[in-house]
Amino acid sequence: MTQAPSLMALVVRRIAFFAGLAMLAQLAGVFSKTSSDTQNLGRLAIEMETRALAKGVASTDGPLAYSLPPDRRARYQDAANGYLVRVRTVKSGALLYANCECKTHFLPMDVKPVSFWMQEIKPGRPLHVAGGRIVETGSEPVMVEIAILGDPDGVTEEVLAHEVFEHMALPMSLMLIFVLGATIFSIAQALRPVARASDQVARLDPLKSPERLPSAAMPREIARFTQAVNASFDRVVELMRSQKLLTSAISHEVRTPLAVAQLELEKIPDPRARKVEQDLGDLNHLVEQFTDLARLEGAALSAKETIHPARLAEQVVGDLAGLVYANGKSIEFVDAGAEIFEGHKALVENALRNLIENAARHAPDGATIRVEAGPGATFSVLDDGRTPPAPETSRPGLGLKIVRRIAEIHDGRFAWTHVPEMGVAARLDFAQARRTNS
Amino acid sequence: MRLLLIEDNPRLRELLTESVHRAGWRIDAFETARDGREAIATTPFELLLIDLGLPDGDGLDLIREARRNGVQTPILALTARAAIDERIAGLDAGADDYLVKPFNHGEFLARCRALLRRAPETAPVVLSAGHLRFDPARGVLSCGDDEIALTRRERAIVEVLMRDVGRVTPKSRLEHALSEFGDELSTNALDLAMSRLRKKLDGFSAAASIETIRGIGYLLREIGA
Repeated sequence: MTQAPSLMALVVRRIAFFAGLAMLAQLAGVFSKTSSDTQNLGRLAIEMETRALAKGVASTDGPLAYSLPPDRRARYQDAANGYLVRVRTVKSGALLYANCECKTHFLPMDVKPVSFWMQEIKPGRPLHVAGGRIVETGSEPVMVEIAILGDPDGVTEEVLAHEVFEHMALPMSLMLIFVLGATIFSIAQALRPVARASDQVARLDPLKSPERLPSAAMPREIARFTQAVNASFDRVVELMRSQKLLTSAISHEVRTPLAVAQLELEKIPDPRARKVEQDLGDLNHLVEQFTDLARLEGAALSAKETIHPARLAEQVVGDLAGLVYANGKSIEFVDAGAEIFEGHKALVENALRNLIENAARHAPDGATIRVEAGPGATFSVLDDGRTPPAPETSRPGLGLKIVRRIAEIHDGRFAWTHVPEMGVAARLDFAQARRTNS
Repeated sequence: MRLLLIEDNPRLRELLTESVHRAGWRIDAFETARDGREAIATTPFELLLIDLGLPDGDGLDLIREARRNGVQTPILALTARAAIDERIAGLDAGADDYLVKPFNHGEFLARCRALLRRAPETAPVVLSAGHLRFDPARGVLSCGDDEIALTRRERAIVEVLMRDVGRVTPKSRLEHALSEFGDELSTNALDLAMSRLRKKLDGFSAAASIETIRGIGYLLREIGA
């Protein structure tokens, strides 16, 4: 299953997307407004170019000198390019630099420099403008004048880009950073109690404890969801209690008469009574399996705990050794490198008991039942000579259905496998439960 | 030896009473939790046999109440509740052992004997398994009228196994019991001692057998129990 993105990632992605859309819309607006107003565009071009060209004024101890700045050299070194420039001092009016005779489009040399002037030579685009302004340099101010004739080098686009960056991208990026920061902070704050509650869910055992998920300090919508989860827990608990009551009642009503019958039969020496005892034993086993099956799903709702396969198998083998020997078989236990996993201990124990009891009932007399814990989170029950039931030809018994269901509840597997030189093994694999919880 | 039985099924009550009488013990049998509670409060017993599904209450509550009131008498819970978590709940409530219905006379009496061995009023007792009898005070093992000669180590093993009859005794417990003699226990000293003990028992009709549960320990089981 692919992992769903976190709420944080989702919100950040959405904000970035809509901010991008807003920026595009504003870009279109700025672009259309600026490019249609050629007067304004001309003014901005003159301001930008004169500012850049003024950087060529050298302020040494002697008289002012001028050379074209490197980033404007290609554009202004030849008037034939369509870009004219003239730089003169404001105080003395001395010419510092010019790439033309500059009689047509510029102010006459004897006119006193003004702080800014502009003239639209030809309206519309491409840009045909002339103008100039006084720019402060290190030692004394200079008058820089330019004329753009047709703008073959794309000053217009540079102006537009500069405008977009200066008045839109920069402020909007700053705003985006603040909005994102505030959003991330708010979401993290709001989700903190949710994270605490989700940590608690794994430990919560609705059947054993009245404790429920806390909804205090949660945002209202999430608190409502938490309360719904708690209500659902309560319903499950009620359902499980009724089921437990029912299985207990059935169990009691059937087992007590069975106990009476068993004790009565023992008094009868007739060999037929032994056969009936055996039938009663089978009937009791069936009742046990039915009630186990009815209880499975409820038990799966309880909280998981750490299971030590070797310890558990050792305990179950110890519990069932008497039964195994009474059935004319022997039993042994091997720790084959078992590793812990998280699971429902009562269910796993039930599965292992079922497998051992199954082997004790069906293995040939004198067989040795070998119970292995490991390698990893697995259990194997082997016996010499027994063959597994073929699902195609015979219905698996209730006991094996229970074992299979317990494996499924743990995302595990139950299978019959061939073990070299040993025969057939019933194998329970809880490796997935181990991975899920590691 | 006086036992108390609280069981609501009249026929089962009769059968268990017969069984207890045949074992040579006395028994007071009651149908309800209320009557049982009164009997526990007024009469000293060596063993309490309590059914969990009673008509006027849960046997688990009765067990809890008895323990709260300081009753130390061993309790055997008799029940139809067979699930593992229910057994755990029974033991947690204060029962010493748990016998799931249906059961046979032999199993019932074996559990009673095991619990009576633990009763403070009845200790020390002569331990038994099948036809074997072991007197821990004198360190004497006998089968019928025959006394079986044992070494010091064998006596220690027999005592531990007979206290655990019907249950697997972990190897570590037996090794611990032997090491109490201050002997340096070699790796297979226990196996050797066990092998010699088995050979000695082979000569008698003990109706009990020591089984090796490889990987765990040993099981002394009564044959035909």
